[in-house]
Amino acid sequence: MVTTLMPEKAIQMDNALHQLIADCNRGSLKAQREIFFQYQETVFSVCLRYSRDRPEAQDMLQEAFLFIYKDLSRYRFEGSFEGWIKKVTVRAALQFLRRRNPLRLADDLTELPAQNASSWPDTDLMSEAILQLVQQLPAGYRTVFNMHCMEGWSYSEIAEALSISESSVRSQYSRACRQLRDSIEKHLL
Amino acid sequence: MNFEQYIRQQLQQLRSKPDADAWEQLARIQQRRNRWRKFKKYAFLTSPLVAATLLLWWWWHPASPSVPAAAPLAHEAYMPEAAPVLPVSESRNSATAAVQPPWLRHNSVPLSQQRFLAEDGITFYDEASNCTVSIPPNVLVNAGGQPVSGPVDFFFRTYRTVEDMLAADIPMHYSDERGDFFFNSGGMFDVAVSQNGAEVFMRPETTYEVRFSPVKELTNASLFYYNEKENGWDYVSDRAFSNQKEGNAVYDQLNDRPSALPPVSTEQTVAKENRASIASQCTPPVPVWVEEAQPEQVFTKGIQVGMELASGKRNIPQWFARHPGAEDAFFSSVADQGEVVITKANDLGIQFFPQDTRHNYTELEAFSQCYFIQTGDSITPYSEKETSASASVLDIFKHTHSWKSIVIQPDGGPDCLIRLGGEDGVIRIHARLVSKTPPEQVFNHYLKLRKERLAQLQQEIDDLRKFITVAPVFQEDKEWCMTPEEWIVYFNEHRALMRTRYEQAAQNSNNSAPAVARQQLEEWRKKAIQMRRDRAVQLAQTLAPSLQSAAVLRLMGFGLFNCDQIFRLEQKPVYANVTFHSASGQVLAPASVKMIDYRTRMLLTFSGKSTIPVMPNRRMTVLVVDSKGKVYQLPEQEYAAQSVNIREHIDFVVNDVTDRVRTPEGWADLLQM
Repeated sequence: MVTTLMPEKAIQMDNALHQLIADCNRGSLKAQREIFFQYQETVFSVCLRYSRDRPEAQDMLQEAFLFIYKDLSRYRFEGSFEGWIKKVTVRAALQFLRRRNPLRLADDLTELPAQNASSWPDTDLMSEAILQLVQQLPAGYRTVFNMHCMEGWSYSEIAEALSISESSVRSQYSRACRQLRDSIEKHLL
Repeated sequence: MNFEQYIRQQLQQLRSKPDADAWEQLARIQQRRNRWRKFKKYAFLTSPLVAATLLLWWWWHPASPSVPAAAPLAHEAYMPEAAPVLPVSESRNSATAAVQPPWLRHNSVPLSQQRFLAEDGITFYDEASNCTVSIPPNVLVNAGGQPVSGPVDFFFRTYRTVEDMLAADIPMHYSDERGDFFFNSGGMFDVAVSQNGAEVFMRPETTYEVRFSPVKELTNASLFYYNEKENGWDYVSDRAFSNQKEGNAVYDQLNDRPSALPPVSTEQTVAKENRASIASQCTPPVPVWVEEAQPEQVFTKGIQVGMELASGKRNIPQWFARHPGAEDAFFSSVADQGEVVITKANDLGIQFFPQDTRHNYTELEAFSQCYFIQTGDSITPYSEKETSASASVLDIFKHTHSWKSIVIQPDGGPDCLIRLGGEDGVIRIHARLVSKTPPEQVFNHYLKLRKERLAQLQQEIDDLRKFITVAPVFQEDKEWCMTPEEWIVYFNEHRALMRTRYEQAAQNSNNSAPAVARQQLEEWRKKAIQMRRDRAVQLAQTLAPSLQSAAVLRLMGFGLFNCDQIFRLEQKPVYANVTFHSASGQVLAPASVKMIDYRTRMLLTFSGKSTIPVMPNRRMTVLVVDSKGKVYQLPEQEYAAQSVNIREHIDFVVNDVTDRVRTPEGWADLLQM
């Protein structure tokens, strides 16, 4: 059996993270602060995608970190910590949206054409501009779009999480993509 | 790369930081959770120790006064160790300071006490309140109903002003089957008797007498008694104070036949009678503008504006007349209001333009040759209420819906965000400007017009503030009793008088060199401060009218009694959930919440501690006392600014004023009522 040794630096970082998480679980505000400042950009970027504007993203961020601190004791050090933080953030975002603005996702059984997988030219449209266009999507479209395109959830997983039918998820996603394409094309005109 | 990959790649590159205060806000909430977490963790470990300590305390604690031990009758044995021995041959009613029993109410309001022999009785006269208490001989019993004899300690306290009642921290509200009411007090008195630290009572079917002079003439005042067990007031009688007017000055609780429920007064009556009671105590506000660099300019401007208002060249707008003491933030939301409607540009349906039918938002003329189209289904509601009405702009056309405010924010090129505010909250419409003139030019023109309009509004507010600040210098005594809102009404009703007054003032100020004007202002300021100090001293002295108007009350028990009107607010307020934060961000756990209405001089207390009424049109200050007795204040300007946008939940940051209000005089100085 080959045992792979972790590089020394990685071991040190791992230990530091262990300690930080342990301190957080003990209720150390200093440790929680450190986690906040280390991951605030990651969390905020996710919140921006799920929210309609910056103020809402701020509120969502706060909720996400409260979730993170609360659930830290359940983190099993499997997979990357940043990945875990993102998952918790998405969960917090969904809960936030459900509470603030019930996702209006009407069941739509219309058969839609398959998603167009044609190539998309690289443009110089900045990330911030695309973010704004995503934020302009209706809440339901935006959520489904983020969960599938960005988080990689399957349609069935999304359907279960949002308590809607899988066909609704597909149609919402398709509409979101279409609307986003149209907006980007108009923007580029 | 396909579309999804492209979007994913772009969004994954996004790196954005939240606002700088994000951590601070989060820490406030998380700190509380951390404390609870630590408590849960350590409580488990320490609970056996805590339980053992409690058990030990319970076993060691002496027997409660309700089951008194049989005490020997020798006088020396009655004296607690700490108190000096009182020989029988000395004055029976010596004012030796007795040890205050722990069950006696403790606060900073002065307490009178006297020792007497139970078999002799006592007639005690309190000079400060002009009250007399007479306890007959041989009427005292202990908790077990056994007669008490020998030295007993008499304690007496009165609460005569709002400041006394604040210092006492006693709730001033009442409930019965009709609902909740506020108290308007004509004064309270508290009588207690103890022997050797144990509470002593009146023998059943006997009475003692209190001659009490209410500080105000109140119609429909009733007598109330404070139930210590229930921490609330019990109604005793509506005849305790009404008998005086009928010629029978004695109220006898033993033979009383009160009405089933106390009569209710109107808020208007309460306000009128409150103001009448303090007419002789009015003082002018202390001007603070002399601390500015050029107060003489404030003075000159104040007179000039006064002249213009008195002569009718300009008018005081309603939004200022109702809240002259408000802050800029309040004015910018209340004054800066219109009646904005979204109008269809043509029958195409999706083209629209905003119009203000009240013509406040004059900057909208920049769009007179343009129209807007919305970009996508882009209504973004702000409040949950608006969620249910999150229809598209097209639906808004179907309803006669008007908005109070509008701000148009350019968003690059022809795009913009139109923010409409109303009673239900704020909605935001993403829109695109359609115009023959380049959109940037149109937006720049709009922003310029808006800036000019707001600058004019600010100038008007500043001018009016200077006018109000300078006004007391020229007012007569009776005008000092008025609140600024009342005085503005008075000003408008006496234009001729004001014209003469301000003409004279203008002439004098024109003839004065700036240095002379500054000196005169400083003299006026010192005079105003001295008047307020004199009033604070007066508060400590007697306020009672003569004995002839005293109520004679024959009462069956000792305790805290109150002479009150009960009333409700005329305009039923909206109640909002509130959280109080200290300046350091700590969330407070209030033990009591009070509000003072400066206009009507009413003290309002509430049974709930996490909801308060939101009344935008009133000058109110909010006072919070926490479980440790620390006192916090929300000044009236901040209450007024917050309450403009009525929301379900409001966060208030309150100032710690504990050290300023250790005495009733301290309260008077803080509140400057």
